[in-house]
Amino acid sequence: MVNTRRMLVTAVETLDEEKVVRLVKMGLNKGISPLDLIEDVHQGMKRVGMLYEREDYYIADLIMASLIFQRVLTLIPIAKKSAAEQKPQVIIGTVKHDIHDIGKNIIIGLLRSRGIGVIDLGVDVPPAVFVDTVKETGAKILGLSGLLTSSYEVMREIVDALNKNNLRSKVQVIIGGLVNEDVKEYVGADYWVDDCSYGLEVCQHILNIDVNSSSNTMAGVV
Amino acid sequence: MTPEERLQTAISLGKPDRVPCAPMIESYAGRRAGLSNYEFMYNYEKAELAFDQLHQEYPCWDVMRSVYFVFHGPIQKTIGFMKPLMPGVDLPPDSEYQMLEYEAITRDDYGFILEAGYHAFLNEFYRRVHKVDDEEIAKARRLQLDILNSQINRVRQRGQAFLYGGFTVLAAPLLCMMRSLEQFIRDMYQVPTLLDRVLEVVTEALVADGIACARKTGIPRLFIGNARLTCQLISVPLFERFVWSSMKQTVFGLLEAGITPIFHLDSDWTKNLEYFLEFPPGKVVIELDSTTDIFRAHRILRGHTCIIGDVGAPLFTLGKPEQVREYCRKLLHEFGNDGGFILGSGCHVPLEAKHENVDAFFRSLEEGGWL
Repeated sequence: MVNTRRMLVTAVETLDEEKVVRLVKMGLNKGISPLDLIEDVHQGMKRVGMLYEREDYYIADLIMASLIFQRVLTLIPIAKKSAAEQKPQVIIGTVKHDIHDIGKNIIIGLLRSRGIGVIDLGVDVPPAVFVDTVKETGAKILGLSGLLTSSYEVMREIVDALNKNNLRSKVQVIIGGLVNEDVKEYVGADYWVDDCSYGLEVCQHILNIDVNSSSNTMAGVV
Repeated sequence: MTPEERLQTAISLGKPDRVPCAPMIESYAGRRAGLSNYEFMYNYEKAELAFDQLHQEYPCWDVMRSVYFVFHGPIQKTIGFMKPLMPGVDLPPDSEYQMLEYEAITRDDYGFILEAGYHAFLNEFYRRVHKVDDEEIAKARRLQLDILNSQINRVRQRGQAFLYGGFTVLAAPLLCMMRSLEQFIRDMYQVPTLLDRVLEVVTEALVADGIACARKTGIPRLFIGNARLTCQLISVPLFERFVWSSMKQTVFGLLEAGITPIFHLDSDWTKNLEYFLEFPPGKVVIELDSTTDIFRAHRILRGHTCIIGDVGAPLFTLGKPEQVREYCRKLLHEFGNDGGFILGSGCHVPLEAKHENVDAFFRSLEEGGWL
């Protein structure tokens, strides 16, 4: 059993998806606790994160690791159930009239694989939905994604609505996509990111999570 | 100098009488002329009138850098490389068009490409994604060439030069768009040898198509879309194996046929700029979209590769005219005298660009572009 668990950590670290799947199935058959298996996957993810910090791994490696994590969750239903009980820390969506979602999906995968609870609102999301979700969940971070320049107005409208609803001081707003410092100022956001790994770093900073921590193990899937 | 002479001088790294002016203006011209974006994207004649009108306002706009012939509504809906959402059809009439990214092809399609060839696959892709038949595909292809030839004629009547004699996308980003980014990343890790073979076959076909199109139009320059797969995202070994090898195959294939590759480099290429030094000097052009550090690009590629760029969409949309003017001045001042530079927008001038910022772009060229 110990050997299977050690191999699982290494298989995640080396991004060997099929081996991870085999080992998780084998572990379940051997009676290893699903929570222990998830913990091993997180250990592997932590090593992937460290390799990225050392610049041995690239963003594609982080994406591959998060795809492996998502695949593991399909094999261990208990993980999904436990995670759903957790309070989401981040709300993310692509703003109204924009359907671009590559960056949004990648950052969601990265956050979840680090055990951070995320609500994905999807694409073409009306401002009121963002505001209502912040109100209902009390999430600390609101991520607004958009690749069109017309998204700037919508992002600004959302921040204005947060102000009107006395929610602005309760949530940190991060914008992502075709954005820069000027867009951040215009929108009234707190951060701008055009790189998913930096987006992950910003979220971890706001949530006061150690970059290489795996302590949030079960919070990742909402 | 004529616009064509000016353009050719800049491409071959010479110093023209004035920096050529090549913003990528499409839908913005329609908006400026009072058209909805639906009218612009679906009515080619109205689009040409919008281009005419803008050129009359800014005669210094001497190089037409347009891919309208690819993104014209009926063409994109039939033979586009991705599933589009078009203004007035899938979106409100004044929206920008957008592309849906999903897993439109599977790994099994790689096998189909190797067995049946890229062109057979492409027709199957169009039938599957756009729900069209072979007759509609053939009609859209004819329309695309007709519009391209017509655009070239109209540009010449206006006294401009037309930049592209055809359009293609590099093999790896093309398959990445069709497969989706996440699935393509999986493929690079899990079926690298299969992907090598597929990319080689696809590249060979794309180069042949590009050469054929450039010969039909008589403009020996080819637009090559190239985005996403840079060392901002993937490792050096992955870049060299799946992207750089196709770029070399493409460039040398085109150069052998006397065609200048013009790489439209979306995304951040800052870490990959040195690779371009492997190509012969004065034979390749790169277009930067304002994500890559253009000043670093110039330091590395000065005297080697012509650069087009790069006033970005956020600056056109949210900036002040003084900021646009200042940025253009900086580009003209730092790059202009070295030759091998063409002033342009980074990718498209956005539909929502402020008119006064577009005005500032052209005025800055009139004021500081003469060498």
